[in-house]
Amino acid sequence: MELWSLAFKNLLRNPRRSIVTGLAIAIGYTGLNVFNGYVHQVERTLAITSIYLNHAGHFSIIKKGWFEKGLSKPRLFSLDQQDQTELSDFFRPYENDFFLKTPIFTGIGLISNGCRSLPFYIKGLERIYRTETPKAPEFIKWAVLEFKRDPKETYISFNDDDFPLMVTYNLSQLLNKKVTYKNAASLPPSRIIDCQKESEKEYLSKDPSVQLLAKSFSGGFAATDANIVSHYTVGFSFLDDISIEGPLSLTQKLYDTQSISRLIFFLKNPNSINHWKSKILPLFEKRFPKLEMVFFDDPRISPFYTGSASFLDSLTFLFILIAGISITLTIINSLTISILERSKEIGTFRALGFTNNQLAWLFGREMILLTSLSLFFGALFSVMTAFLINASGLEYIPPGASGNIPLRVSLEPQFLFISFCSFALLVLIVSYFLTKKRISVNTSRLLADS
Amino acid sequence: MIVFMALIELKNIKKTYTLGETQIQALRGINLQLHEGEFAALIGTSGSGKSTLLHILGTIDDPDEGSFTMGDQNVLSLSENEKSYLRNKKIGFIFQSFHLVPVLNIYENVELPLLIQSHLSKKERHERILQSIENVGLKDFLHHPPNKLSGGQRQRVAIARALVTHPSLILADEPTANLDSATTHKIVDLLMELNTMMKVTFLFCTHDEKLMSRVQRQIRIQDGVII
Repeated sequence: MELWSLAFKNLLRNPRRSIVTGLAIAIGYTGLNVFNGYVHQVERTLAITSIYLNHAGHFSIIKKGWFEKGLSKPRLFSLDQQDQTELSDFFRPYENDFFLKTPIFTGIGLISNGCRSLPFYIKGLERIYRTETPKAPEFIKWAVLEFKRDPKETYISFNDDDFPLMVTYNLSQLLNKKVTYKNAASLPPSRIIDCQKESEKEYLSKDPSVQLLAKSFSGGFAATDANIVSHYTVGFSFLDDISIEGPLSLTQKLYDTQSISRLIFFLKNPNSINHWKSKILPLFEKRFPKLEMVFFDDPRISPFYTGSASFLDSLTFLFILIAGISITLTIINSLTISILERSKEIGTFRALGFTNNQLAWLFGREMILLTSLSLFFGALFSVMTAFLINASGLEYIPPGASGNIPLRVSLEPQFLFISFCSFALLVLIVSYFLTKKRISVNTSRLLADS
Repeated sequence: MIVFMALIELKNIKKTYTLGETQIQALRGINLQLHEGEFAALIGTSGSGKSTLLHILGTIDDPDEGSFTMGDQNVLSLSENEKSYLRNKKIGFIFQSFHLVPVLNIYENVELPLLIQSHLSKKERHERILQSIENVGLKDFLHHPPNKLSGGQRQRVAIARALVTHPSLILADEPTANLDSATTHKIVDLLMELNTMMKVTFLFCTHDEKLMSRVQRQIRIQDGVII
């Protein structure tokens, strides 16, 4: 027999208490893991939404001041061709690190259906963005299903002559544009419409064409016809009322420029982002004092992600704290009763030559065994609960999101392991000191205790 | 003439307990020598101070005054851990109500004090346990839990546990108080046999007059004083 074996046998002394204590720990641990799994899923989904759907990339390059004045003074705060050439030279040695490097042009203007004009916020992207990003492993893993399916059609299969445009569902509804370019049975002939007539609404809904009006870089106003080729969502309700997306070349043409707003980078290894922050960023800042490297977790480019992530982190911390306190109190309760019940036995052990330290470790071993077993079962419960939740197909609308997203739980093995070790260590420390304090009484008194 | 060395020497041992607002003088200046291989009984009525004296001899309680040497070692100057070490190596305890661990079988109960003797090999430990259990005649009960044994058998297990560390001194606190008359005699026979065989010093406290005639030496204590 070894001391571990003795500790295990002591746990069987009062099986009901051990089971109840163990269950309390296992359930607390399961709750913590499932909650963290949910938070992890949401955090990853939000991150992927920011990186891929809102085009933050893992990082992007902008002119300093672009966030504040990029839309009002686009000419001054865009990257011109010389900037783009210098940036290409700088990043050439790192080409193999990138999954994709692509420019983006963003601008504002008015979109009209002939009767009604609404503000738009356009993103012009290279077609390769739409073909390649859905292949990114982390996008495949984390983006919620709706984002993977939508849009069914993009501008990549249309000619520039058609000025293909993706318009968000909400904006399409506001413009009464129900059909897309491909689905329009027969395009209604162009004519002047009387916007006051109710009957004209149907005509408008069948017509996928819209007009865009923007202030060009050269100072004048520019307008063009465009066709809605698909409806899509950007994931956030506050952007879904105004967002449109089209090919970069046509967007640049509308604004009469070869400049771009940002150069976006998608890394092959998303985990290397810290390396980029620590190693490449200082070199970049030295080389381009007027430009800025903005990472996706910058609140200026991903305010919804960063705000939500810090809120979720706070919740997780609170949850860990509550679980830690609960487990500690459960252990203290169980251990205290156990020590009180076994004071005579503790006295016997002391009489046999066990030191206080050895006894404290013996009780510590019991609690470690109980906690480890409980945490092991807690981990199993966590996997089962996560499986059941994911299989249930439940959906919900998170605050700020533009639609339902599935309730999913993605357990983090790393979190499971770290929290397992942390709780085991916590229990060991608590039980060691509690036992030591409780048994530090005269042995003859312990032996006389009835 | 054979001269036995003094294994234990107590000089002017005093002990006072506080019970509420009352001071109880349990020991009022005990002077005592115990010799190697001695088989002695500490006799006294309930409350005479015999258990207190036994606890002090077993280093599980400290006197308020006096000196206590074991061999050439000043016991009272030892730290708590050193006292634990001393108990584990040199002192064996036999309790009135046996104090066996209910979740362990006989073999494991006897093994308990050896669990902290890291210098022993597994084989040596195993041999010692078997020898001790055999010495008390319980070879056929190795894997029985204590609650399947009679009172006499349980006390034999406690004796085996006390002897397994090969101590110099065995202290027994009314070891036969919970046993019937026949079993009591058997246990005393066993203790005497082991005393002769192993040359271990035995001191047990009792107020059972029937046992007194069987011991080599009677130490009578009354009101905290040896008379």
